[in-house]
Amino acid sequence: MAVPANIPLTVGLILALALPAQAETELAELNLEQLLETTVTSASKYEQKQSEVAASVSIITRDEIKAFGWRTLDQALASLPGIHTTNDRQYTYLGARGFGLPGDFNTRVLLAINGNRVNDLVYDSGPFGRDFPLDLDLIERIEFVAGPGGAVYGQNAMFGVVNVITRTGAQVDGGELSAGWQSPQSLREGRISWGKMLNNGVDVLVSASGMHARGEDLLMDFPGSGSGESLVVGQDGEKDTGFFTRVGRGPWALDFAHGDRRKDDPTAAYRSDAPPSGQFERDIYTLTQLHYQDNFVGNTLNVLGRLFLGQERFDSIFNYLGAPNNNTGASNWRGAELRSLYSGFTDHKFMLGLEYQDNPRIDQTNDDRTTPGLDTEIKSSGYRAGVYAQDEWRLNDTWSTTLGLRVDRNDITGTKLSPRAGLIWQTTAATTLKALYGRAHRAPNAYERLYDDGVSQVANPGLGGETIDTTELVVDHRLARDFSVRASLYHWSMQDIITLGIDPVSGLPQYQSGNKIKADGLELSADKRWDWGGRARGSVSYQEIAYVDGGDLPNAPQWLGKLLFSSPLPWEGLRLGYELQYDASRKAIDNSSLDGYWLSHLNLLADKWVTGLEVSLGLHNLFNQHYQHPGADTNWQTRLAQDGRSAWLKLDYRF
Amino acid sequence: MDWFKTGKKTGFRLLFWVLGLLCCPSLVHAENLAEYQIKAAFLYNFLAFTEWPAEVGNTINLCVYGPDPFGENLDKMQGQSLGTRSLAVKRVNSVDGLHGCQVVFITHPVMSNLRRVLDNLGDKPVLTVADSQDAALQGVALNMSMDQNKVTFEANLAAARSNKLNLSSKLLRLATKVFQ
Repeated sequence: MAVPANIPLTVGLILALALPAQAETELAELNLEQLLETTVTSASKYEQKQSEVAASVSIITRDEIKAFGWRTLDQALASLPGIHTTNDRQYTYLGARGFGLPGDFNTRVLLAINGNRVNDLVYDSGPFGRDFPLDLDLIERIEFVAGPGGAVYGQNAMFGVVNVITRTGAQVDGGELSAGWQSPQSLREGRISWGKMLNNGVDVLVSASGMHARGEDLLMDFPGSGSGESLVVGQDGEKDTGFFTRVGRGPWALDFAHGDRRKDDPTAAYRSDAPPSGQFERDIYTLTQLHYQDNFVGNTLNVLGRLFLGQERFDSIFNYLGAPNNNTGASNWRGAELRSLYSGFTDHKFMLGLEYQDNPRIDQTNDDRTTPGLDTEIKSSGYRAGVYAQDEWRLNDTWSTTLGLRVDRNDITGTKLSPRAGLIWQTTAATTLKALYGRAHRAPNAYERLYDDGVSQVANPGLGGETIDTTELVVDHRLARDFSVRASLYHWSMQDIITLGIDPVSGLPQYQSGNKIKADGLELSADKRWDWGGRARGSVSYQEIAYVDGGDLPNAPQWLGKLLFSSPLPWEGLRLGYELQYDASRKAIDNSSLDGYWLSHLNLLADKWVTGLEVSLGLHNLFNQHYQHPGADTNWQTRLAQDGRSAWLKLDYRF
Repeated sequence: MDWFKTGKKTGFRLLFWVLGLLCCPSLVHAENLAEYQIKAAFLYNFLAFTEWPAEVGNTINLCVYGPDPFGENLDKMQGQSLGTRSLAVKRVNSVDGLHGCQVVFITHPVMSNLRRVLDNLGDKPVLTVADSQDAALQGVALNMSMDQNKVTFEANLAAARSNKLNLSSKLLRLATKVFQ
């Protein structure tokens, strides 16, 4: 807790005068030898030790984002164990622990900015590509909590929670100008930011950014469309603008994030006219949050309160038989959350939370622009409410347990319970064992439940929610001060998965409750730092996933490997970042097999040439590997070719 | 608004009384202390075991750059004597505000601005201190870290010398690692 206000200082001074001077000097009289032997009883509050958390947590820092030249969230998250990404040239989808069904809109990972939910109400989408409203340069760190987070976060937190922590004005401390180029996509981007902690204690950050890419001309096939293979020219473009501002003072912070991204469609998605021309999808996110967090009662009570306001607008044009079809989605939400953490009882940390979200607008439309009037308009509204409690109980020096439960109620699936339990055993100072269990639910979103245009999909208003149960064993071991390893063995099963099937009445696609899925997996990871400034982290994950009644899942690579190495170079203050990724073969939706692939990315960072200037040069897909990702039911293509080698140059200037 | 302000005030009062009446007298037998209480004591020792050149005047300005984790532990150092010099505590939120500091403690949240801090200080006689991973390696003269619930520290002698400071041999002997 900072002491910026005058009142506490005055109180402090009065007390300091009142107290005998002896207390003052004794602090100084403690000599170094004594200090080195002193045990810290209460660690600082602002960082909880990973070994004490009943979860498997990974953190990506700003330094890493710079060292590896990551420009989108999915690039950064793909460096973590068990994460695989899929791109359909429209969006990027995050797969976790083997699960990433083609056609899912990132509904099962919760994405938040400073704790504020980003996933919208029509599609439940967490945007992990350029559609994410924040520029990556504004991120201080990315926290990923693997596994179900439903016991605290509610909806969407099935496979994990990604919380993006932004920089503050004090961290930016001045102005920043940034410009980037990428070839052969003819991508240009720029950013201007200013941040400062003002003398009156107000912390301000303002940032605006924009990006434009022409994209590549792509040789595409459209099997089943009647169109042969053709070169699709100028249909892969992308445009993106973002605005972010944060004003904070003491325990208060107001965040505002706005992102507008339009991606052209070279794939003739949603089985539209092929080859496509002038088709696009556009997403606009606007997120506001007023956040309050402070400590009371001698630091034993931490209170967090937030008010939030969210809005998403989706817009698209797809052509059918020459007629442009406009599909839109719009959702508004607002709500409040109050969470208190009390550590005043010996050996207990008790958390109690309350969240309410009102969803006044959830609209979907579909319109053939050549005919008068709106063809389809589906309006709905609703609410979500959750109450959660958790107790971290320190049983003795080596054992602790975490028990938590969240009760959610909404207008779609009624009341659901999401429990979690964790047992932590600190076997030695260097080794921690964790046994974890968690359950999470997801109610179907408006698109899955209600969308009905009579052509591409019919509604299923009675569709129920899905549930995931995960058990996990985690071993964290520190081999040396700068060398740690982790093993995580997990089992999860998902019931009533919401998935696209065929309505027996109409014969049209419809979201239905699918078969149970079971998965087992092992993730091994290591993190090593060297005194000369080098760092390597890597992971190997293996998983087996299947429908319980038989049948494999598409887009589920059995093996994933990651290796990240960063190091200062002996010349010109350069820093190298090298990333190697292995994705084993995946199945396409027609059960054919897509080859596994190795990808290398290289980044060089120079920050010592000119004061205030940072230059980074990157080569993505260094060896120009040809690889493919599976398409969804809604694509003509069962496999979609991914980008080859691209070069990246970025200049950042501070003023 | 009013209730929390009052709450904060009473919270502070309480904290001060608790600190003043309970914990501080027990410092004599200091074995168990809060993290930043210990780190503040280390900080004081670091200053005491640094040889300051004559160009440093009678006051040593101890500046905490970034969100202050020390709180009242730091206030206690205000006005304390250090040989013939006396200590003044400043809290700084911008790299531009580091002029006139003889000691800069770079807090964890602003470590990403370390390069700017070092550029800004140049070769002036300023002791840099931090408590973040790899800070000594990146050019901070003294860096504290936690090892099995105890505070340890590393020294970067080259960095200190480039700022015309000498660290005493005792300090270097007790450091877990010394970057030359």
